[in-house]
Amino acid sequence: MDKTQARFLLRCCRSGTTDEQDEAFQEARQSILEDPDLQEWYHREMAFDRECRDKLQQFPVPTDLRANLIAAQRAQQSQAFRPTRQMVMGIAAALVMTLGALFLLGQFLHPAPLTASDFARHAVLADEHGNDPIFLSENLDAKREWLSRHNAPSEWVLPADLSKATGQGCRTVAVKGNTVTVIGFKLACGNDVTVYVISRQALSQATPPGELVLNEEGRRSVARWCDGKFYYVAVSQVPLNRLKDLL
Amino acid sequence: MQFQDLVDSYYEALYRFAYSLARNSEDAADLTQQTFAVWGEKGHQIRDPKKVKSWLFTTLYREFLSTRRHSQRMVYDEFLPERLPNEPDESFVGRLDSEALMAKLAELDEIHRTPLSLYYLEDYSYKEISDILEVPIGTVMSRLNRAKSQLRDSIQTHLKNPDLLSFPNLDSNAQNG
Repeated sequence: MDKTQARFLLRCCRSGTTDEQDEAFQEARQSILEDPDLQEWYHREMAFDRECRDKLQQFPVPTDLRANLIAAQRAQQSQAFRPTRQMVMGIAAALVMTLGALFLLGQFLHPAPLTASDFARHAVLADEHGNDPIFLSENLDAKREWLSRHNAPSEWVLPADLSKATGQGCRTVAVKGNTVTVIGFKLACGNDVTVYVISRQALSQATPPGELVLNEEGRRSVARWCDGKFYYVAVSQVPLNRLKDLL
Repeated sequence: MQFQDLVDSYYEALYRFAYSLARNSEDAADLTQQTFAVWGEKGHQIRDPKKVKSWLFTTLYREFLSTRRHSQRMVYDEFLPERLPNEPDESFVGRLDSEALMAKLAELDEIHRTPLSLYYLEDYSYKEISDILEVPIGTVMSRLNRAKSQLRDSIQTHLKNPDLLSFPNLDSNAQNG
């Protein structure tokens, strides 16, 4: 390492810092011990640095700067927590939307209790609008399998006489978030009977098992009953007595 | 660290560094203010307390770069032949007060006075300066060498011709390059 290189390194490297780990700096420092001229130069250089550093570190700082900095920080903090009119409106709108969404979600996840009468009315309305079967099969087991795959009641037990009628097929409908099985039958007289099946747990007020409730809704005869697991509503345009005979 | 403790620990050093960059007290105070404002927003992201100081200096320097007029002429002389350092005259710096010396420092090109400010004001090593300014180590070393030479020349010229001291009317020059 020549003198010029040593001076270059000695000028920018600082003792007492990580610069000391620099091998080139260590070599330059070794050169000082071996070269009296370089040593003298280095002492002058260090004195120059010390004087510059001491003078510059005494450079005056405005007396009010500290107070201004702290005051500004307080203002910044209070501004950060002071909502503007737009922020308030935005928060209110977001709150209303969130509550609305939660209400709808709640309705979806926890539908309002469905009574047996409500379910019967839904069944009649559905029958009036027509419920063409989606899965066409006369085979009850095939229907059960299809309904099971669609998470609909599939383990229902129908009265024997009704089961003897010609099966038309089945489908599912949703009533207040509950999946309902719809099974169609064709009677020998040409009329249809449609049975709606829902889980008994989905109803808040179900008819006690074994009790048959008969009534007429407009031109339709309606029969309701339940077993331990499901609630059934049969809807048909046959006279009420004829429907009762099937059950 | 509480904000007041942070201010007490660093505001003077940051202001001096800001002054060496901006070359006037108003801009220096603004830069210092802005640095602490950025701390207020992002300071919580710093997990290692040892990095707070260099973070503050780096932030101040970035703030300076972002607010500086882009029309300012930059002197990129990394590829100029290396100047040989002058022989220092013993104790001639002692004939200047701190403001006059800061004025001489402020006369240097920005790329030279910035690392030299960190070197003198905060006793940073060249490696730390390299980290703060985000420039290569070799570049910092070259700039420090040139900066010292320029500062010494400037001081010697001033002592021989005190009337030539132009500081603090450097702001317009700085803006116009």
